[in-house]
Amino acid sequence: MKIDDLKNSFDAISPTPEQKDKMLTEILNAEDKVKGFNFTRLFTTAIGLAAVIAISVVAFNYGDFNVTEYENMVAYKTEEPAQKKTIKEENAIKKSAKTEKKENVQVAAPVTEDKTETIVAEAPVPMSMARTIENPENVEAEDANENSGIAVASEENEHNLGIAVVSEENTTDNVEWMTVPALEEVEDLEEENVRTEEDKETEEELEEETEENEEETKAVTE
Amino acid sequence: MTDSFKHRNDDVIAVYNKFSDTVYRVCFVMLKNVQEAEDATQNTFIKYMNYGKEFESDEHIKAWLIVTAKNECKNNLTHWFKSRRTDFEELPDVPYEDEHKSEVLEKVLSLDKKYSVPLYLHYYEGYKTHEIANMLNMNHSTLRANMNKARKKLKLLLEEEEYEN
Repeated sequence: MKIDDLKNSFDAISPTPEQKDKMLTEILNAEDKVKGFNFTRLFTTAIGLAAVIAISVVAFNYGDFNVTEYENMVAYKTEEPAQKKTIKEENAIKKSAKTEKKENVQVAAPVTEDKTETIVAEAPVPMSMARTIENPENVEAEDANENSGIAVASEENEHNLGIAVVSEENTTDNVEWMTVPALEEVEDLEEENVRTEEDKETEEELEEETEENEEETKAVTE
Repeated sequence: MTDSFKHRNDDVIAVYNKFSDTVYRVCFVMLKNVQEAEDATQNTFIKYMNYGKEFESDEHIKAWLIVTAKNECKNNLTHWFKSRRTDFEELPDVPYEDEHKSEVLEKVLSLDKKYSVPLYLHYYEGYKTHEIANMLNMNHSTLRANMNKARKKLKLLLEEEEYEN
């Protein structure tokens, strides 16, 4: 076998001119198809996106209306109008009762807070010491009398705090120390008591002045 | 935009007129089917159109087209047998359609594609063995061994035919 024979054999494998033209036209059309495909793909995707957005917007706006309308329709079909009214009225009464209860509870709550505050305020026990007593049960107001104004700490607190009884009148003199007292706390107590006495005096003076002014105004009017 | 496409089309037509026969032969040697060879050549030139980079010379274009045609045929063969995907060397041969009537060609195409393609590229296109090895992504020594085997097999086939005649 010669090499020329082999070359000639490969020469036989060649497309005819018709085949060549056909392939070339298909190649050139394929390029157009590729371009067209890109354009159509973009166009279709844009239209699809717009349709999805429009449908979602319409569904969002129209969905609530449909739900309420459907609920109304179902209620109208299932229940009679008279029964509907009664049910609604009952519901309204229940709701009003619940709201009233809630209001009462809300009003009652601060009263307890006030009680604790009043106990602390009435007692001439120094504020710093009184605040340390967390449980109001340990504090026993001996009487509800405003004059006495005595607060007694429990035995545990007596030992812990070193304060037994404090009276409203002459607080500094009536303090009886059951155990070793803290000197700094006593000084603070004295200062606070002095301040409260001064405040009371100023209040009394102001009241007297107001009474005098009122009497003068009455006399002027007469 | 249209001018660039026209220029591109002209370029494609020029390249097609130069190398369409080579690409078609490579495809036919590998696929052994006229219609499939036509499809493979079309796809190869479509890839050339969509290829963005510039080529240094005509030889560069020719080499690129041969490699692309080889890969296209390989993909076509693997696609043809979808049930199992195997390596290019292990792909089964498709029976040859007796359209190009030549005894030698018939014997060449009856060989495995790992023998026939290097024979075509070496003896017809005039490529050297190391160039063919680069194109087909093969080791140079294995390619030379394959070519020796191909020659021996072809010789045997032709001798058998002469003996039969």
